[in-house]
Amino acid sequence: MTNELDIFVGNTTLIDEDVYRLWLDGYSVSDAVGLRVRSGILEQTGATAGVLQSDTMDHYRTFHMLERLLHTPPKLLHQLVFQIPPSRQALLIERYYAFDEAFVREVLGKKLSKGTKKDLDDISTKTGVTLKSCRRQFDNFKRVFKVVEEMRGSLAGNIQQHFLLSDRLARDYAAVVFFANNRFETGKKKLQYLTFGDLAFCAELMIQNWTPGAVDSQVDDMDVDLDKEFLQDLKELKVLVADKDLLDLHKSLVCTALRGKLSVFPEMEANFKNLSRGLVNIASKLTHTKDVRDLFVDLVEKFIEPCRSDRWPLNDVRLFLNQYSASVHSLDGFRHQALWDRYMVTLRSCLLRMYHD
Amino acid sequence: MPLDSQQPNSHCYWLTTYSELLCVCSHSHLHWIPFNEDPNPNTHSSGPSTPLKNQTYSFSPSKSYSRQSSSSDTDLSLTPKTGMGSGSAGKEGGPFKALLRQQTQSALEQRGGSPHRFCRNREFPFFTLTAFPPGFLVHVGGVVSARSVKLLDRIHNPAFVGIMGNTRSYKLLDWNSFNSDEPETRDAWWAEIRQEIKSHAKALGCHAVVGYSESTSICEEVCILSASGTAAVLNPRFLQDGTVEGCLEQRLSWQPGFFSIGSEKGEVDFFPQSQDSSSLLGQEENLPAGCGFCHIPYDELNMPFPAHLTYCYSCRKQKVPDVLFTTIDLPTDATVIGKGCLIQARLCRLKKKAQAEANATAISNLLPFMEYEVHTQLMNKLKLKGMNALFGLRIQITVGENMLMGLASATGVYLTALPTPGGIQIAGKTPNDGSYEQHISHMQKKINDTIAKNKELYEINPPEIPEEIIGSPIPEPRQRSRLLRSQSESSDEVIELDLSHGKKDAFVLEIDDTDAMEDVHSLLTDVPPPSGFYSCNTEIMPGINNWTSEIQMFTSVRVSRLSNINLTNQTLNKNFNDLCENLLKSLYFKLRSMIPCCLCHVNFTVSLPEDELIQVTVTAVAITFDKHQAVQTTKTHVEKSLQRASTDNEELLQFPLELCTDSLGPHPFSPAKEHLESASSNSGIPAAQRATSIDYSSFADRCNSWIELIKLKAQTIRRGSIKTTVSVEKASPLTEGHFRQRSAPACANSTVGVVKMTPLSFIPGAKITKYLGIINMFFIRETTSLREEGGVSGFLHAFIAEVFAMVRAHVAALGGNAVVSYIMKQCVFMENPNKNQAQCLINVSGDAVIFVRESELEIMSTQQPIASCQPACGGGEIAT
Repeated sequence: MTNELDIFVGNTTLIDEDVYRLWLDGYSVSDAVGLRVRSGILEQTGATAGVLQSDTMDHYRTFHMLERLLHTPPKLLHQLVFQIPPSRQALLIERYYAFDEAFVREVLGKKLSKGTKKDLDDISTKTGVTLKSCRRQFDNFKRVFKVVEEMRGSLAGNIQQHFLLSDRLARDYAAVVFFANNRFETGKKKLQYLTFGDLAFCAELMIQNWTPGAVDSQVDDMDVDLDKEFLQDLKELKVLVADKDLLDLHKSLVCTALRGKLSVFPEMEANFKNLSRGLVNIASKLTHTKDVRDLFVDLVEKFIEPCRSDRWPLNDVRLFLNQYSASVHSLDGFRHQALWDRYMVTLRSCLLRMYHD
Repeated sequence: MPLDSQQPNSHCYWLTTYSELLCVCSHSHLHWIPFNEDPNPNTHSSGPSTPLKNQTYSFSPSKSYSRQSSSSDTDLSLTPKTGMGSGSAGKEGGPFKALLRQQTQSALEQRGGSPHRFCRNREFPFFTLTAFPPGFLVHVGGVVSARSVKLLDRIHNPAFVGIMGNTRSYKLLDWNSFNSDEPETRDAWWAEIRQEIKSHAKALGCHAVVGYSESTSICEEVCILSASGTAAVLNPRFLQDGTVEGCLEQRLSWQPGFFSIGSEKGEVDFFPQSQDSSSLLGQEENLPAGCGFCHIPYDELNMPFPAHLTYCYSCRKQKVPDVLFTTIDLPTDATVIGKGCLIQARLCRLKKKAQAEANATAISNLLPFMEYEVHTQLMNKLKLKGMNALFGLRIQITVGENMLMGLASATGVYLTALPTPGGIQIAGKTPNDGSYEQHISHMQKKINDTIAKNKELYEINPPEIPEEIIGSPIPEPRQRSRLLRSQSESSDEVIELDLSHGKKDAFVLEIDDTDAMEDVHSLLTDVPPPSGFYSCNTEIMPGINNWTSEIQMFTSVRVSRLSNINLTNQTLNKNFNDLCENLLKSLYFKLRSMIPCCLCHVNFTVSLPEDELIQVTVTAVAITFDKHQAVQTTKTHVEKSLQRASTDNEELLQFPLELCTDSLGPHPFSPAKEHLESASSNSGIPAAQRATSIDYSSFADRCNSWIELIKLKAQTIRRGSIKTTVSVEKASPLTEGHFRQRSAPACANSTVGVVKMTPLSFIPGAKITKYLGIINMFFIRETTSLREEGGVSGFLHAFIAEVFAMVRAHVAALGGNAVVSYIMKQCVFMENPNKNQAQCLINVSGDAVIFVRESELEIMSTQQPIASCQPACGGGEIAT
């Protein structure tokens, strides 16, 4: 005797969090049943495998029906077919849009195109995230990207409004969108040590300070693209390293201030010009799209790796960067103080966040 | 409470029949008022104080009319053409019988042969309701049921008619023929079945049938018509004044004077025991609550079937049976020990495929055995649970091409008033075989263990009562012999009667064949629900009173294909049993997050859409309850349940007037009674005149009595109309204001308002403030892309989800926030996977209501403390 049809429909749609997780993780019904059996649920509840199978099927069917609503979360709130308490709706959405750290690191900064989607097989094998789950996460990125790409207003705010995500998750998505739009390279071996958190942190700062939205909140694409004018202006900073007097003055100011405070003072003194040249050159090159994409590679190559090879403690890096950016204000011949600050405040925080093993 | 009178063929006129029924049957004591003759108010102005009222209380119907075992036979043989009662005229003695006969005959004269008229003149009220106000049910006799097998394509020709009842006596009727056209023939079929139900009820000494329902099962041209209900003796006080139609009138015009008009006819009374009833009530109210309905209504010396009687374990004055089966909900005033549980009997019988009459004959031949086995299973499972009564019994027989399915669901409880059930004893047929003996004793041990376990699980621990007090439950040898009827009219001298064989413990299961062996096994395979779960098919679980507000209504559908080609009854039974058990297990598993909770109103429907397909549809509601408050003494149980009853009544009332009764406490009936009497003594004065000379001191009380009446009648005809409440609302603007206040936050909550759905008539922790009307919706859906929609499961899942959504949307559009008494009446599913097609028809119905959380209500009432007197004033304004 086989069950041809087996359904359970509640007036309030039942959501089993564990099964939802299994479904999101892309397990098939039989795999999910196997995992649930292993979780010891049969012993806890005294149910049989058949019951578990039927229950899992039911939940999967429900989730499948909910999925198209989850693509546009406001629809989930306004639909009438499934009566779901608001807290559960929030949970459904939040979990559906949650992503795996391993997966996002692979995709971050890549173009969210069909080409990338084809590579999901490889990503799946590499990260251990099931292909189904990879597809969902990728589609989520793409969907969010498409919706907020050309929208006015704050990026995270837009995402939150259109996808009803939590504050935290909306900001993560903002970072994903920002990275995808600017195509920052994050996949290089050198950058592997950076977590999504590090990059999202950087993205958030850049969105805050380096986009057109930072100066004018009424522009299109205000948070998605970098501020072209700003990047153009950054060329002016070149004088800091091109003018030898200015560079020497800058160095002496920093060294005077930090003498005795750094454990790596000699190394700092020896490397100052290199480091400064690195940071300023990064700024002046940002007009080229190629160099924008390589921003994180350059930061690691030009600043983090030299410091790390000299074993700078994080605190010394912090002291150095603070002094380095502050001293510029005392350079009389330098006229772009505001520009310097807009650049350096963000960069300093990014570097500090990125400075770890 | 679900009114299941919507079966395809069962459109009947009984809502309209009550009125005349009351008139027709309104013989008063010793003189008979003919049909249509105006009862003279003066004759009755003295109220119920007729000479008979003062006689000492001894309730026994046999004193006034001797119950005759032949009554059911004679009635059965009647076709609608001959009419009831006439066949047996004059055969039996007793003035009351004569009166009844006179009444029916005069009624028959009036009816002039029309079947419609005939139906209007019934003497037995049929109530499809399953819950009643406290005190309404005087006695409950037991389940009465009738089935009939009909051929649908033979309507114009003589058809095979097999009628049988399961009041433990089976009868087959002769061939009957009808020459009328189709609808009338079907009416006649139902009339016949109702007739039989009536006669069964009569055989149980009852004059009414409550919890009545009718159903059909059709396969090809064969149709099984089934009806069942609970024979009962009703409290005449609830029915005596006014009529249902009159009540409708009064709701339309809202004339308080009407009630007095109603009570002018206060003495009308159609009960055979009417001279007892008024005094009886006086007595009954002094008795310990909640055992009266258990007392046997039939003559204990001439019982319609062998039963084991003992003195009531509560009052020790009246006789009670050893078990009680009913189709109604547990009366609110009944006292139970422990919790109840869902008990199901499941049965399949193969039959040969056949055509037309041969098929009908085959089915008719199988039916009595199925009923018997279902009954035996129920009895065994009841004993196994250590319980002694079944409520909400619903036996469903489904006919398929090559099999018959029987599924009986009921809620078992331990009634305090009934004796402790004996155990189950297994007896082998070949006692000489040693290993067999061992096996038997092993089984016996298992059964005993199960009983003990169940008693613990359901908290059944009745107090030990010394046997001397209650009388010996073990009959002495002389009592075993069946008493002759001549003795029955003897006297009050009570002779202990026991018609069962042996002592009561000896409920012997004889294992004489594999079938019986299997039965015992199946008894033991029923797994109790996991801890924290209870289930019942009645409105609420007996023994649980502290419901919290979380409810989850659901529908689950399973279709199973029988894979075996060589099916036997045993494998079929096992398959069906597994299907149901697994379904229940699935439900328990799915709803585990709600523990502690109870599945209420579990409603199984079985259909056989194809040769090898069994479809089981379950609709129920899971309600959580507070575990800590669950442990209560029996006394508070009773109080609680009484309170629940009164709040229930208020909830059911369509009028906002119910605020008035809040101040009058949970026992509104005692004042109501007095004032009914006083009202009837006033009855000589015209209504309007009296209204002006109202004694305001007693006004609230009078209001109260009116309200009780409205309540009762509103419950009866609740589905009738909605518009009638308008005038009342205007009368008390405050209530309307109230309502606006309450409903506002509910709507403002979220984008989509939550609409609760429940098959119950109430919502725990909430008060229904307004009934918005009946929802009755039919849906048909077809798909030609079955695979793409996720197969049959995907298709039906989405469809049912959308049906729920449409019902909710409909209710929300009416301004409501809940559906009560929700029922899925039909769920017909057909598929053709080869064509990638499927069709489904669903019919659902329920009542749209507005409810308010009790917590919100409390806040409201503290804000407006004068609310309680308002309706009374409002009523006064209208009256003058």
